[in-house]
Amino acid sequence: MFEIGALVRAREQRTDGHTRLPRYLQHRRGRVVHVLGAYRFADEAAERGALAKTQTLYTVEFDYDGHAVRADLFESYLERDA
Amino acid sequence: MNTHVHDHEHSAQVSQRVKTLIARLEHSGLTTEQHLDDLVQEFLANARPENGYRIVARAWIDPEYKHRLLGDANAAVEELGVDLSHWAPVRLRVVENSDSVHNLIVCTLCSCYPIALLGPSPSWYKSEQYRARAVSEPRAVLHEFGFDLPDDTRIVVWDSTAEARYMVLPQRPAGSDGLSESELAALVTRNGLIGTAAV
Repeated sequence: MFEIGALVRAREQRTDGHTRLPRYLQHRRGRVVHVLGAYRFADEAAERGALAKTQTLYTVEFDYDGHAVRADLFESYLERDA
Repeated sequence: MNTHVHDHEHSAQVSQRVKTLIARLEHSGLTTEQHLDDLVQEFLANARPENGYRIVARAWIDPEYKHRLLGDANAAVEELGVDLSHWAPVRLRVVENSDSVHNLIVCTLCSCYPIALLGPSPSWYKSEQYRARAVSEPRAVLHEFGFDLPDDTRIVVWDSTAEARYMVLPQRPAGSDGLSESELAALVTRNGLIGTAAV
């Protein structure tokens, strides 16, 4: 679990199948700004439908030059950034 | 190959896949084309941008409504009679513009969009150009929409990557003090609710 304000990093995409982790965010450092709650994990739901487990979904903010991007990312897409 | 041609070929491929899928479903007796058309018709009959315009106008005149809208948009839009039942698990979030922050909505992975509030999305929203550039150079994209923000306004781009759908709450225009709720709703545009216009 990550708390609001946690510094995180988007992991590398490790699937050839469906994912909701955009490639442009992988390896990028960000900060958790919102916890959306538990949702069926999209990568697994694409194959197992209603049998897929849920995961916590977070809104993570990434800083760019002159703007910020916020994306909704499942817990397993993220690792804590030391 | 330019992006426009690429988009066109891509959409032709998608249409072909959809046709094949429908043919398979019909062949196995799971549905009919008529049944699918009826479902889409029913969904789209109530999915219109006027829903979004009404919600914004109400939020402008009623601070308590605005508070509920920003806290739990699903419940707040249902208060105004917008039916979200087709969307069951999707979380709706409304994000507020201010003098210091401007919000812009995109879906870089596909074309996620709050259809129930805004109707079907414009074709540019689904284009590869918009999807790529909204996150990499939003200020330039807004400029091409004829919309230039002050340099010190922070742009926050919301990439609709998962189970939430986003709508922008624009700032109430200056000089609109005497207007009624329906007159205020008439000032709002679809692009304002995506963030590619001020209102």
